[in-house]
Amino acid sequence: MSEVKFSAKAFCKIILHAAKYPHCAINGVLLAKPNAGSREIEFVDAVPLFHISLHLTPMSEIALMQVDELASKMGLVIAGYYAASENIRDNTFEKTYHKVAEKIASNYSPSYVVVVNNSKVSTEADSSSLKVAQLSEGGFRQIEEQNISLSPAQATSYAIVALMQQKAFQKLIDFDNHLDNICADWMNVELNKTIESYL
Amino acid sequence: MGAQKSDVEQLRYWRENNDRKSREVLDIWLNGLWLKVNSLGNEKFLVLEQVCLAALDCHIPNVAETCIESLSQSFPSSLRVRKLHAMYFEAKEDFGTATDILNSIIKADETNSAARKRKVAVLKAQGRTVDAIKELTDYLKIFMADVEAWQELAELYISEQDFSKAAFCVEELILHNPHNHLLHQRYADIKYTIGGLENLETARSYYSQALKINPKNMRALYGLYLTSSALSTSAKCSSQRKKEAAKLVEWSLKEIKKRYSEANLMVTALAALEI
Repeated sequence: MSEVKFSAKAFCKIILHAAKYPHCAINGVLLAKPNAGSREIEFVDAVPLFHISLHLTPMSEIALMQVDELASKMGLVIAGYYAASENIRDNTFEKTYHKVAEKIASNYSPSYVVVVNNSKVSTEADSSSLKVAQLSEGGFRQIEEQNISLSPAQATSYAIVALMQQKAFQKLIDFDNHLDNICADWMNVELNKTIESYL
Repeated sequence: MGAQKSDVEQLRYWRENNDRKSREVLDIWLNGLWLKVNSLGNEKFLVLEQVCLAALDCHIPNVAETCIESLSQSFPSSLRVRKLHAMYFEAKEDFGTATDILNSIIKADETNSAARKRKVAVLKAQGRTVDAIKELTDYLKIFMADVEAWQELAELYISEQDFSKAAFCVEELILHNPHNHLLHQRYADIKYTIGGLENLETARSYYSQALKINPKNMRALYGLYLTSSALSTSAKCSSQRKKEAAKLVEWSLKEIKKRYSEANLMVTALAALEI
Protein backbone atom coordinates (compact mmCIF):
# COMPACT_ATOMS: atom_id res chain seq x y z
CA MET A 1 0.00 0.00 0.00
CA SER A 2 1.22 3.51 -0.75
CA GLU A 3 2.25 5.90 1.97
CA VAL A 4 1.37 9.59 1.71
CA LYS A 5 3.06 12.31 3.71
CA PHE A 6 2.18 15.97 3.93
CA SER A 7 4.73 18.57 4.94
CA ALA A 8 3.60 21.26 7.38
CA LYS A 9 3.58 23.83 4.57
CA ALA A 10 1.40 21.70 2.32
CA PHE A 11 -1.02 20.61 5.02
CA CYS A 12 -1.47 24.02 6.64
CA LYS A 13 -2.06 25.75 3.32
CA ILE A 14 -4.76 23.30 2.30
CA ILE A 15 -6.61 23.75 5.58
CA LEU A 16 -6.13 27.52 5.62
CA HIS A 17 -7.40 27.78 2.05
CA ALA A 18 -10.55 25.92 3.03
CA ALA A 19 -10.90 28.11 6.13
CA LYS A 20 -10.47 31.35 4.19
CA TYR A 21 -13.43 30.56 1.92
CA PRO A 22 -15.82 28.49 4.03
CA HIS A 23 -18.68 29.27 1.64
CA CYS A 24 -16.89 28.39 -1.61
CA ALA A 25 -15.52 25.35 -3.30
CA ILE A 26 -11.74 25.64 -3.49
CA ASN A 27 -8.95 23.81 -5.26
CA GLY A 28 -5.22 23.76 -5.69
CA VAL A 29 -2.27 21.56 -6.57
CA LEU A 30 0.33 19.72 -4.55
CA LEU A 31 4.04 19.62 -5.29
CA ALA A 32 6.37 16.73 -4.57
CA LYS A 33 9.93 15.67 -5.29
CA PRO A 34 9.91 13.46 -8.39
CA ASN A 35 10.18 9.87 -7.32
CA ALA A 36 8.37 8.01 -10.09
CA GLY A 37 7.05 4.56 -9.40
CA SER A 38 7.74 4.75 -5.68
CA ARG A 39 5.13 3.71 -3.15
CA GLU A 40 5.92 6.63 -0.95
CA ILE A 41 5.23 10.23 -1.69
CA GLU A 42 5.78 13.38 0.29
CA PHE A 43 3.95 16.52 -0.69
CA VAL A 44 6.36 19.28 0.19
CA ASP A 45 4.25 22.24 -0.83
CA ALA A 46 0.76 23.23 -1.88
CA VAL A 47 -0.30 25.94 -4.30
CA PRO A 48 -3.80 27.27 -3.63
CA LEU A 49 -5.50 28.05 -6.94
CA PHE A 50 -9.17 29.00 -7.11
CA HIS A 51 -12.30 29.75 -5.16
CA ILE A 52 -14.44 31.20 -7.96
CA SER A 53 -15.87 29.05 -10.73
CA LEU A 54 -13.68 26.01 -10.51
CA HIS A 55 -15.12 24.46 -13.61
CA LEU A 56 -14.10 27.12 -16.11
CA THR A 57 -10.84 26.18 -17.78
CA PRO A 58 -9.00 29.26 -19.09
CA MET A 59 -7.56 30.54 -15.82
CA SER A 60 -6.75 26.99 -14.68
CA GLU A 61 -4.62 26.61 -17.79
CA ILE A 62 -2.75 29.81 -17.06
CA ALA A 63 -2.26 28.82 -13.43
CA LEU A 64 -1.02 25.32 -14.24
CA MET A 65 1.45 26.64 -16.83
CA GLN A 66 2.92 29.03 -14.28
CA VAL A 67 2.95 26.60 -11.37
CA ASP A 68 4.56 23.92 -13.52
CA GLU A 69 7.28 26.30 -14.68
CA LEU A 70 8.09 27.42 -11.15
CA ALA A 71 7.92 23.90 -9.73
CA SER A 72 10.35 22.54 -12.29
CA LYS A 73 12.77 25.36 -11.46
CA MET A 74 12.66 24.16 -7.85
CA GLY A 75 13.08 20.54 -8.89
CA LEU A 76 9.51 19.63 -7.98
CA VAL A 77 6.61 18.15 -9.89
CA ILE A 78 2.86 18.62 -9.64
CA ALA A 79 1.81 15.27 -8.26
CA GLY A 80 -1.51 15.94 -6.62
CA TYR A 81 -4.74 17.87 -6.78
CA TYR A 82 -6.68 19.01 -3.74
CA ALA A 83 -10.19 20.33 -3.45
CA ALA A 84 -12.97 21.04 -1.01
CA SER A 85 -16.56 21.27 -2.13
CA GLU A 86 -19.00 24.01 -1.35
CA ASN A 87 -21.47 21.72 0.38
CA ILE A 88 -20.29 20.48 3.75
CA ARG A 89 -21.61 16.97 3.08
CA ASP A 90 -19.91 16.48 -0.29
CA ASN A 91 -16.72 14.78 0.74
CA THR A 92 -16.56 12.15 -1.96
CA PHE A 93 -13.92 11.92 -4.64
CA GLU A 94 -16.58 11.74 -7.34
CA LYS A 95 -18.19 15.04 -6.32
CA THR A 96 -14.96 16.95 -6.30
CA TYR A 97 -13.48 15.26 -9.33
CA HIS A 98 -12.03 17.69 -11.78
CA LYS A 99 -10.39 17.75 -15.19
CA VAL A 100 -7.26 19.20 -13.61
CA ALA A 101 -6.77 15.95 -11.68
CA GLU A 102 -6.95 14.05 -14.95
CA LYS A 103 -4.41 16.37 -16.51
CA ILE A 104 -2.01 15.93 -13.61
CA ALA A 105 -2.39 12.15 -13.85
CA SER A 106 -1.46 12.25 -17.53
CA ASN A 107 1.74 14.13 -16.68
CA TYR A 108 2.90 12.32 -13.60
CA SER A 109 2.25 8.91 -12.17
CA PRO A 110 1.34 7.93 -9.53
CA SER A 111 -0.70 11.06 -8.86
CA TYR A 112 -3.12 11.66 -6.04
CA VAL A 113 -6.40 13.41 -5.35
CA VAL A 114 -6.91 14.96 -1.93
CA VAL A 115 -10.36 15.91 -0.69
CA VAL A 116 -10.83 18.10 2.34
CA ASN A 117 -13.20 16.36 4.70
CA ASN A 118 -15.30 19.48 5.33
CA SER A 119 -16.98 18.22 8.47
CA LYS A 120 -13.61 17.55 10.10
CA VAL A 121 -12.03 20.94 9.53
CA SER A 122 -11.72 22.72 12.83
CA THR A 123 -9.09 24.59 14.77
CA GLU A 124 -7.62 21.21 15.60
CA ALA A 125 -7.40 19.73 12.16
CA ASP A 126 -5.21 16.67 11.74
CA SER A 127 -4.52 14.20 8.96
CA SER A 128 -8.04 12.82 9.27
CA SER A 129 -9.34 16.09 7.81
CA LEU A 130 -7.96 14.97 4.47
CA LYS A 131 -9.04 12.05 2.34
CA VAL A 132 -6.50 10.85 -0.17
CA ALA A 133 -6.87 8.60 -3.18
CA GLN A 134 -4.48 7.45 -5.81
CA LEU A 135 -5.70 8.05 -9.32
CA SER A 136 -5.29 4.98 -11.46
CA GLU A 137 -6.96 4.14 -14.76
CA GLY A 138 -9.70 6.68 -14.24
CA GLY A 139 -10.68 5.22 -10.88
CA PHE A 140 -9.84 6.13 -7.30
CA ARG A 141 -7.98 3.89 -4.91
CA GLN A 142 -8.47 5.36 -1.49
CA ILE A 143 -5.47 5.40 0.80
CA GLU A 144 -6.15 4.06 4.27
CA GLU A 145 -6.05 6.62 7.04
CA GLN A 146 -3.14 4.99 8.86
CA ASN A 147 -1.01 5.45 5.75
CA ILE A 148 -1.53 9.21 5.67
CA SER A 149 0.78 11.19 7.88
CA LEU A 150 2.00 14.69 8.57
CA SER A 151 5.68 15.43 8.79
CA PRO A 152 6.63 16.47 11.40
CA ALA A 153 3.41 15.14 12.91
CA GLN A 154 3.30 16.76 16.31
CA ALA A 155 4.65 20.17 15.34
CA THR A 156 2.29 20.45 12.37
CA SER A 157 -0.77 19.83 14.48
CA TYR A 158 0.38 22.48 16.95
CA ALA A 159 1.10 24.85 14.08
CA ILE A 160 -2.37 24.58 12.58
CA VAL A 161 -4.03 25.31 15.93
CA ALA A 162 -1.95 28.45 16.33
CA LEU A 163 -2.49 29.52 12.72
CA MET A 164 -6.24 29.12 12.93
CA GLN A 165 -6.42 31.00 16.19
CA GLN A 166 -4.59 34.00 14.84
CA LYS A 167 -6.65 33.85 11.63
CA ALA A 168 -3.64 33.29 9.42
CA PHE A 169 -5.99 32.32 6.61
CA GLN A 170 -6.48 36.02 5.95
CA LYS A 171 -2.90 36.08 4.72
CA LEU A 172 -3.26 33.13 2.38
CA ILE A 173 -3.19 34.09 -1.30
CA ASP A 174 -4.63 31.88 -4.02
CA PHE A 175 -4.36 32.33 -7.77
CA ASP A 176 -7.74 34.06 -7.91
CA ASN A 177 -6.44 36.67 -5.45
CA HIS A 178 -3.38 37.06 -7.66
CA LEU A 179 -5.52 37.69 -10.73
CA ASP A 180 -7.44 40.35 -8.81
CA ASN A 181 -4.22 41.97 -7.75
CA ILE A 182 -1.03 40.80 -9.39
CA CYS A 183 1.06 42.04 -6.47
CA ALA A 184 -0.43 39.26 -4.32
CA ASP A 185 1.98 36.34 -4.33
CA TRP A 186 0.41 32.91 -4.80
CA MET A 187 3.58 31.16 -3.66
CA ASN A 188 2.81 32.56 -0.20
CA VAL A 189 6.39 33.26 0.79
CA GLU A 190 5.27 35.31 3.78
CA LEU A 191 2.81 32.71 5.02
CA ASN A 192 5.41 29.96 4.58
CA LYS A 193 7.68 31.84 6.96
CA THR A 194 4.88 32.10 9.51
CA ILE A 195 4.19 28.38 9.21
CA GLU A 196 7.86 27.51 9.58
CA SER A 197 8.17 29.69 12.66
CA TYR A 198 5.88 27.24 14.45
CA LEU A 199 7.94 24.17 13.66
CA MET B 1 -19.28 55.18 23.68
CA GLY B 2 -16.74 56.06 21.01
CA ALA B 3 -15.86 52.51 20.24
CA GLN B 4 -19.49 51.54 19.94
CA LYS B 5 -20.20 54.31 17.47
CA SER B 6 -17.50 53.16 15.10
CA ASP B 7 -18.67 49.55 15.46
CA VAL B 8 -22.15 50.52 14.41
CA GLU B 9 -20.80 52.51 11.48
CA GLN B 10 -18.69 49.56 10.41
CA LEU B 11 -21.70 47.27 10.52
CA ARG B 12 -23.71 49.78 8.53
CA TYR B 13 -20.97 49.99 5.91
CA TRP B 14 -20.86 46.21 5.49
CA ARG B 15 -24.64 46.01 5.37
CA GLU B 16 -24.94 48.64 2.67
CA ASN B 17 -22.20 47.10 0.57
CA ASN B 18 -23.54 43.58 0.94
CA ASP B 19 -20.16 42.41 2.22
CA ARG B 20 -20.03 38.88 3.50
CA LYS B 21 -18.07 39.52 6.69
CA SER B 22 -19.86 37.10 8.96
CA ARG B 23 -16.91 36.33 11.21
CA GLU B 24 -16.16 40.02 11.70
CA VAL B 25 -19.80 40.95 12.30
CA LEU B 26 -20.05 38.28 14.94
CA ASP B 27 -16.82 39.42 16.60
CA ILE B 28 -18.18 42.95 16.94
CA TRP B 29 -21.41 41.58 18.37
CA LEU B 30 -19.80 39.29 20.92
CA ASN B 31 -17.24 41.91 21.89
CA GLY B 32 -19.89 43.95 23.64
CA LEU B 33 -22.36 45.29 21.11
CA TRP B 34 -24.93 42.76 22.30
CA LEU B 35 -25.06 44.57 25.64
CA LYS B 36 -25.72 47.93 24.07
CA VAL B 37 -28.08 47.00 21.27
CA ASN B 38 -31.10 48.62 22.94
CA SER B 39 -29.49 52.04 22.74
CA LEU B 40 -29.32 51.96 18.95
CA GLY B 41 -32.82 53.25 18.25
CA ASN B 42 -34.38 52.18 14.98
CA GLU B 43 -31.14 50.78 13.64
CA LYS B 44 -31.33 48.09 16.32
CA PHE B 45 -33.54 45.89 14.17
CA LEU B 46 -31.31 46.11 11.12
CA VAL B 47 -28.32 45.21 13.25
CA LEU B 48 -30.19 42.28 14.79
CA GLU B 49 -31.06 40.96 11.34
CA GLN B 50 -27.48 41.36 10.16
CA VAL B 51 -26.08 39.61 13.23
CA CYS B 52 -28.63 36.84 12.90
CA LEU B 53 -27.54 36.13 9.31
CA ALA B 54 -23.87 36.26 10.30
CA ALA B 55 -24.48 33.84 13.16
CA LEU B 56 -26.23 31.41 10.84
CA ASP B 57 -23.37 31.72 8.38
CA CYS B 58 -20.86 30.86 11.12
CA HIS B 59 -23.14 28.20 12.53
CA ILE B 60 -23.64 29.67 15.99
CA PRO B 61 -27.36 28.95 16.36
CA ASN B 62 -27.87 30.33 19.87
CA VAL B 63 -26.88 33.87 18.83
CA ALA B 64 -29.23 33.64 15.86
CA GLU B 65 -31.98 32.41 18.16
CA THR B 66 -31.72 35.38 20.53
CA CYS B 67 -31.79 37.80 17.58
CA ILE B 68 -34.87 36.16 16.08
CA GLU B 69 -36.63 36.11 19.45
CA SER B 70 -36.03 39.78 20.03
CA LEU B 71 -37.12 40.62 16.48
CA SER B 72 -40.31 38.61 16.64
CA GLN B 73 -41.29 40.32 19.87
CA SER B 74 -41.19 43.64 18.08
CA PHE B 75 -42.69 42.37 14.81
CA PRO B 76 -44.85 39.36 15.65
CA SER B 77 -46.41 38.96 12.21
CA SER B 78 -43.53 40.09 10.00
CA LEU B 79 -42.75 37.91 6.98
CA ARG B 80 -39.19 39.16 7.02
CA VAL B 81 -38.71 37.74 10.50
CA ARG B 82 -40.44 34.54 9.47
CA LYS B 83 -37.88 34.18 6.69
CA LEU B 84 -35.10 34.37 9.28
CA HIS B 85 -36.89 31.65 11.15
CA ALA B 86 -36.84 29.49 8.04
CA MET B 87 -33.13 30.16 7.61
CA TYR B 88 -32.57 29.11 11.20
CA PHE B 89 -34.09 25.71 10.49
CA GLU B 90 -32.15 25.57 7.26
CA ALA B 91 -28.91 26.05 9.19
CA LYS B 92 -29.95 23.27 11.56
CA GLU B 93 -30.46 21.09 8.46
CA ASP B 94 -34.13 20.68 9.25
CA PHE B 95 -35.01 21.26 5.62
CA GLY B 96 -38.60 20.06 5.89
CA THR B 97 -39.58 22.66 8.48
CA ALA B 98 -37.66 25.35 6.58
CA THR B 99 -39.57 24.59 3.37
CA ASP B 100 -42.90 24.59 5.21
CA ILE B 101 -42.24 28.04 6.65
CA LEU B 102 -41.12 29.35 3.25
CA ASN B 103 -44.26 27.97 1.62
CA SER B 104 -46.38 29.69 4.25
CA ILE B 105 -44.64 32.99 3.47
CA ILE B 106 -45.28 32.56 -0.25
CA LYS B 107 -48.91 31.73 0.48
CA ALA B 108 -49.30 34.92 2.50
CA ASP B 109 -47.49 37.05 -0.05
CA GLU B 110 -47.17 35.70 -3.57
CA THR B 111 -44.75 38.40 -4.62
CA ASN B 112 -42.25 37.58 -1.89
CA SER B 113 -39.20 36.89 -4.02
CA ALA B 114 -36.81 36.39 -1.09
CA ALA B 115 -38.73 33.37 0.18
CA ARG B 116 -38.82 31.82 -3.27
CA LYS B 117 -35.08 32.26 -3.64
CA ARG B 118 -34.55 30.72 -0.22
CA LYS B 119 -36.33 27.61 -1.47
CA VAL B 120 -33.69 27.31 -4.17
CA ALA B 121 -31.02 27.62 -1.48
CA VAL B 122 -32.65 24.86 0.57
CA LEU B 123 -32.49 22.51 -2.41
CA LYS B 124 -28.90 23.49 -3.09
CA ALA B 125 -27.94 22.81 0.52
CA GLN B 126 -29.26 19.30 0.15
CA GLY B 127 -27.08 18.77 -2.89
CA ARG B 128 -30.11 18.58 -5.18
CA THR B 129 -28.64 20.85 -7.84
CA VAL B 130 -30.95 19.66 -10.62
CA ASP B 131 -34.05 20.42 -8.53
CA ALA B 132 -32.55 23.76 -7.53
CA ILE B 133 -32.10 24.63 -11.20
CA LYS B 134 -35.70 23.73 -11.92
CA GLU B 135 -36.98 25.83 -9.02
CA LEU B 136 -34.83 28.76 -10.08
CA THR B 137 -35.97 28.62 -13.72
CA ASP B 138 -39.57 28.62 -12.49
CA TYR B 139 -38.71 31.63 -10.38
CA LEU B 140 -37.15 33.42 -13.35
CA LYS B 141 -40.33 32.90 -15.38
CA ILE B 142 -42.04 35.22 -12.88
CA PHE B 143 -39.19 37.55 -11.92
CA MET B 144 -37.41 37.92 -15.23
CA ALA B 145 -35.45 41.01 -14.32
CA ASP B 146 -33.78 39.55 -11.23
CA VAL B 147 -30.12 39.85 -12.11
CA GLU B 148 -28.95 38.05 -8.98
CA ALA B 149 -31.05 35.02 -9.88
CA TRP B 150 -29.63 34.85 -13.41
CA GLN B 151 -26.16 34.98 -11.92
CA GLU B 152 -26.93 32.13 -9.53
CA LEU B 153 -28.49 30.09 -12.33
CA ALA B 154 -25.31 30.55 -14.38
CA GLU B 155 -23.24 29.29 -11.44
CA LEU B 156 -25.51 26.28 -10.98
CA TYR B 157 -25.27 25.37 -14.66
CA ILE B 158 -21.49 25.71 -14.52
CA SER B 159 -21.34 23.38 -11.53
CA GLU B 160 -23.41 20.89 -13.52
CA GLN B 161 -21.05 21.48 -16.46
CA ASP B 162 -23.95 22.54 -18.67
CA PHE B 163 -21.95 25.32 -20.26
CA SER B 164 -24.19 26.32 -23.15
CA LYS B 165 -27.07 27.02 -20.76
CA ALA B 166 -24.72 28.90 -18.45
CA ALA B 167 -23.68 30.99 -21.45
CA PHE B 168 -27.33 31.86 -22.09
CA CYS B 169 -27.70 33.12 -18.51
CA VAL B 170 -24.64 35.30 -18.85
CA GLU B 171 -25.98 36.69 -22.17
CA GLU B 172 -29.06 37.69 -20.22
CA LEU B 173 -26.85 39.36 -17.61
CA ILE B 174 -24.92 41.28 -20.26
CA LEU B 175 -28.21 42.62 -21.64
CA HIS B 176 -29.06 43.92 -18.20
CA ASN B 177 -25.66 45.36 -17.57
CA PRO B 178 -23.73 45.88 -20.80
CA HIS B 179 -20.89 47.86 -19.25
CA ASN B 180 -19.79 45.32 -16.68
CA HIS B 181 -16.42 43.97 -17.81
CA LEU B 182 -16.65 40.98 -15.46
CA LEU B 183 -19.69 39.67 -17.32
CA HIS B 184 -17.97 39.90 -20.70
CA GLN B 185 -14.97 38.11 -19.27
CA ARG B 186 -17.16 35.45 -17.66
CA TYR B 187 -18.96 34.88 -20.97
CA ALA B 188 -15.64 34.45 -22.71
CA ASP B 189 -14.46 32.04 -19.99
CA ILE B 190 -17.50 29.87 -20.62
CA LYS B 191 -17.12 29.98 -24.41
CA TYR B 192 -13.46 29.03 -24.11
CA THR B 193 -14.36 26.14 -21.84
CA ILE B 194 -16.83 24.79 -24.42
CA GLY B 195 -14.07 25.01 -27.04
CA GLY B 196 -14.14 24.72 -30.83
CA LEU B 197 -13.09 27.26 -33.44
CA GLU B 198 -16.26 29.33 -33.42
CA ASN B 199 -16.46 29.53 -29.63
CA LEU B 200 -12.79 30.47 -29.42
CA GLU B 201 -13.40 33.36 -31.76
CA THR B 202 -16.38 34.50 -29.72
CA ALA B 203 -14.31 34.20 -26.56
CA ARG B 204 -11.60 36.32 -28.10
CA SER B 205 -14.06 39.10 -28.98
CA TYR B 206 -15.55 39.10 -25.50
CA TYR B 207 -12.16 39.12 -23.80
CA SER B 208 -11.23 42.08 -26.00
CA GLN B 209 -14.42 43.88 -25.05
CA ALA B 210 -13.79 43.22 -21.35
CA LEU B 211 -10.29 44.62 -21.73
CA LYS B 212 -11.61 47.65 -23.57
CA ILE B 213 -14.00 48.43 -20.73
CA ASN B 214 -11.42 47.76 -18.05
CA PRO B 215 -7.78 47.57 -19.17
CA LYS B 216 -6.83 46.34 -15.70
CA ASN B 217 -8.70 43.04 -15.96
CA MET B 218 -5.86 40.49 -15.82
CA ARG B 219 -8.16 37.54 -16.43
CA ALA B 220 -9.29 39.08 -19.70
CA LEU B 221 -5.71 39.78 -20.71
CA TYR B 222 -4.64 36.22 -19.99
CA GLY B 223 -7.77 35.01 -21.73
CA LEU B 224 -6.96 37.03 -24.81
CA TYR B 225 -3.50 35.49 -24.82
CA LEU B 226 -4.90 31.96 -24.48
CA THR B 227 -7.57 32.30 -27.15
CA SER B 228 -5.32 33.92 -29.70
CA SER B 229 -2.53 31.43 -29.17
CA ALA B 230 -5.04 28.60 -29.59
CA LEU B 231 -6.30 30.22 -32.79
CA SER B 232 -2.81 30.85 -34.14
CA THR B 233 -2.04 27.14 -34.00
CA SER B 234 -5.47 25.86 -34.99
CA ALA B 235 -5.44 23.72 -38.13
CA LYS B 236 -8.84 24.95 -39.18
CA CYS B 237 -7.80 28.60 -39.35
CA SER B 238 -6.80 30.20 -42.65
CA SER B 239 -3.20 31.44 -42.78
CA GLN B 240 -4.33 35.05 -42.93
CA ARG B 241 -6.24 34.69 -39.67
CA LYS B 242 -3.42 32.74 -38.09
CA LYS B 243 -1.11 35.67 -38.73
CA GLU B 244 -3.61 38.01 -37.13
CA ALA B 245 -3.87 35.75 -34.11
CA ALA B 246 -0.09 35.50 -33.83
CA LYS B 247 0.10 39.29 -33.71
CA LEU B 248 -2.42 39.33 -30.91
CA VAL B 249 -0.43 36.72 -28.98
CA GLU B 250 2.62 38.94 -29.22
CA TRP B 251 0.68 42.00 -28.13
CA SER B 252 -1.04 40.35 -25.17
CA LEU B 253 2.20 38.81 -23.96
CA LYS B 254 3.87 42.22 -24.12
CA GLU B 255 0.97 43.72 -22.16
CA ILE B 256 1.10 40.98 -19.52
CA LYS B 257 4.80 41.58 -18.98
CA LYS B 258 4.21 45.31 -18.83
CA ARG B 259 1.64 44.85 -16.05
CA TYR B 260 4.09 42.85 -14.00
CA SER B 261 6.99 45.22 -14.51
CA GLU B 262 4.78 48.19 -13.65
CA ALA B 263 4.01 46.45 -10.36
CA ASN B 264 7.75 45.97 -9.89
CA LEU B 265 7.49 42.20 -9.95
CA MET B 266 9.97 39.83 -11.47
CA VAL B 267 7.95 36.76 -12.17
CA THR B 268 9.94 33.78 -13.32
CA ALA B 269 6.75 31.79 -13.78
CA LEU B 270 5.83 33.99 -16.75
CA ALA B 271 8.48 32.23 -18.80
CA ALA B 272 5.95 29.43 -19.13
CA LEU B 273 3.95 31.54 -21.56
CA GLU B 274 6.74 31.99 -24.08
CA ILE B 275 6.51 28.73 -25.92
